Amino acid sequence: MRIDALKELGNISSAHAVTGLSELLRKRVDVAITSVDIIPLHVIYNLFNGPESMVSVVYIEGYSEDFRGMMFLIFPHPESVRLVELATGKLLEEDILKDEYSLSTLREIGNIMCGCYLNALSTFINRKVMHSVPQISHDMLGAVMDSVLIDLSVENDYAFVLETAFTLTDGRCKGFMFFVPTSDSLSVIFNEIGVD
Amino acid sequence: MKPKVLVVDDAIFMRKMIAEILVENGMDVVGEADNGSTAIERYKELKPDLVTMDIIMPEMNGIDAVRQIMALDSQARIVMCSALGQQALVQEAISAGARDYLIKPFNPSRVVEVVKKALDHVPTA
Repeated sequence: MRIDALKELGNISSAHAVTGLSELLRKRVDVAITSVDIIPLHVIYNLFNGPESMVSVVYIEGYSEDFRGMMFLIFPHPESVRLVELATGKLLEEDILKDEYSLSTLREIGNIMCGCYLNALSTFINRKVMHSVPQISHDMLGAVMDSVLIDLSVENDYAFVLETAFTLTDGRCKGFMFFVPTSDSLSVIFNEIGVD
Repeated sequence: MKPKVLVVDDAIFMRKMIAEILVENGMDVVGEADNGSTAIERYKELKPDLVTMDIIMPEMNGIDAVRQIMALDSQARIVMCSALGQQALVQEAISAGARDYLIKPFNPSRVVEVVKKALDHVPTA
């Protein structure tokens, strides 16, 4: 029952996030998977080609007085380049890492998707949910996740994760979105959606 | 005379997108700022007819910047522009003095409609 309720919350919130991306790019974006689970965080590596795969990660912390969670938007490196090209309508001529405008574009895509997700979540938990300024990292997935999880003060390797995979309909771009609430925040969600 | 607009957003991508829409629709983007503190300084310096203001920005957020700009100039015309569109936040921004609220992502016609309405609502005397 709890998992079903959370899956529905994840479905609706991620639908808002991909709608935001779709409106920004003026392209159809589909949600491929939404899953809810308690998983060892290293399982995320399996979605890519292991911890050494190069990725771009946009991450923010969503929070209200008694609620806190981290959102990650992860794109394999070539996908982040394609996403920037789709958003700006221009082919990227230099390395994305050296181009401030491209980085800003990717950060803003994360800002809009996470903002839309949190707007929906805010309705479910009946709280105003703010978020931090989006941060962006380009590195091997393992290195990025290690540093982010230290920032998050995640003390163990397991976390409750709402996962969404999405693709552009023409298959030219795919990405993953993860929302990791703290355990106290999970209780807030359960109380507000009336599942004990 | 073209209305003078100050565009405030920490993302250069979004500043460029908003500026292009406004310029194409007969407005003069006289300046940009990437956080709330800089926005206040640019407001004092440029005295724009209208400000578009993001909320989540480093150093100072957009709602605090609206409060400070309104304290300097109670006639300031500010339109919020954020991906966060929660009702409580919209109300907070309007209470702080914002004239209207655009939720990202937006289409150009919505931006123009809201900006023009905000400009119309101020006495021209």
